Amino acid sequence: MARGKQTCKILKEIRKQIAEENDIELVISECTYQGDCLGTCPKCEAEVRYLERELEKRQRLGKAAVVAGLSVGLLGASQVAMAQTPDTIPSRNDSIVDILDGYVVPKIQQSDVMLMGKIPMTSCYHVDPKRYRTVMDMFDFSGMRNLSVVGFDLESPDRIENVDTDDYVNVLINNSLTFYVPQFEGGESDLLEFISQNLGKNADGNAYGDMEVAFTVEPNGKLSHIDIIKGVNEQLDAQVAALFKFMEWKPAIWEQKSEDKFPFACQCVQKLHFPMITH
Amino acid sequence: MTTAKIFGISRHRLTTDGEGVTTLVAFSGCPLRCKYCLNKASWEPDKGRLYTPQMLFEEVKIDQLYFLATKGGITFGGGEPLLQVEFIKEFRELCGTQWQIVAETCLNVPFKNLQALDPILDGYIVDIKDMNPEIYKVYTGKDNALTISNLQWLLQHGDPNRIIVRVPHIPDFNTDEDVERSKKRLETMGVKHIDEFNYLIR
Repeated sequence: MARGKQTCKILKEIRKQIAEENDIELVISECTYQGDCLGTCPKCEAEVRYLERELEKRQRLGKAAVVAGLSVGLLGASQVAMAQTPDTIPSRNDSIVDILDGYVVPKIQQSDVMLMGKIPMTSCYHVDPKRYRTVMDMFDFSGMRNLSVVGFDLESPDRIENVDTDDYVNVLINNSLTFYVPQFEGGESDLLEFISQNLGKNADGNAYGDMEVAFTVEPNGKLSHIDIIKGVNEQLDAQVAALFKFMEWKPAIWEQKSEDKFPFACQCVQKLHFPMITH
Repeated sequence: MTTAKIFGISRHRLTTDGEGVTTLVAFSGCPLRCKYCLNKASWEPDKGRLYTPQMLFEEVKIDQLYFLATKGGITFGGGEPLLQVEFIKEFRELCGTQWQIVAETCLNVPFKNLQALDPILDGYIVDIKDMNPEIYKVYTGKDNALTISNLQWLLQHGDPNRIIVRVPHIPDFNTDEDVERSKKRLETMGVKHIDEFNYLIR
């Protein structure tokens, strides 16, 4: 089992134990994603946030929240096991900065998007350190290598998180692929304007807080699998979810040698802040 | 305001560096210049993103549930984490005592740094390279006297079980016999957990 999937399985088991021990109803569905991942995704993260909220509720009601040390047994391979295991081979999994030498950064054009997609090819990113945002990408280089999640930050060209692959740098340097994340027509400001205008008078003017909407942008630009993973209130959540059903986005595209452009399905998370301020 | 340059944050590490679910936080800046260093960018103290302890805490606390449930936490690596005394102390104040904080260190740091951080660290993963001073110097460019005296102090001031010492086979720099000699000397010093492994040269 690839490392990411294995991590996912263990983390899922930890969530399950926490939920069971605290009588929290948590339905964990099977992940249908076929490629490797880094052990987490927006759906997994949403489950963690849900557990945190439920635990807080219990504490407010004076109930004990049982978490400490609950899942220690799950991770048998701990420090001591590591110390006793000979022939541990450090790999690039232990390295973060190898990748930085080449400033390998995808060209990303949208902020605060968590991106997951399957790139059906065996090539790689284009490098553009000038333009990128925080992003999580999930790829499957089928039959070639596992490339999992990378995160980049606009403010810091040399920060990369969660890199987990072998021979990654060489691939990046020797190939040239640009990929574009999905984007609302007109960009993020137009998206906020669209939401703001369409919520109109029906919106709860007193609503305050951050919302996160997970959805998949299909290759044809339609949105599917819309899910409010972090809500503000029930009414507003439902209104925003309904709006996303009507949207059309520019799909994610990978591009090689500029003439070959291929749209692909991408799972995204859009963050929204209420009350909305638009220009 | 205390700040530090951090060049990488890696979440959900299950068995790599410490007990439980851990997040590796890699500081910039290292006193050594190892020939096979995987993270050469970490040599430069100015590379990476500038963090305050509060910023880092806000970022890594999303995995608090996992840390608590598995008795995991943060592994500070680098670069050399023991050069970031104030940062780690302030971070500990923010995260409390329930998170495990482990330092992945070469121990080739001023003794006062080690002394200041030892009360708040839960464990150490010590990259000892080779106990032979000549091999160490050729491979890292530095003397290992400070490393050894710091390790000795750690072993004498606290539970030896909190320390893992990594002893690598370093191609072209040490032999199997050298590694055996290092292990024997470490055992004599009182090291309980030795992680012998091969450097994989690419």
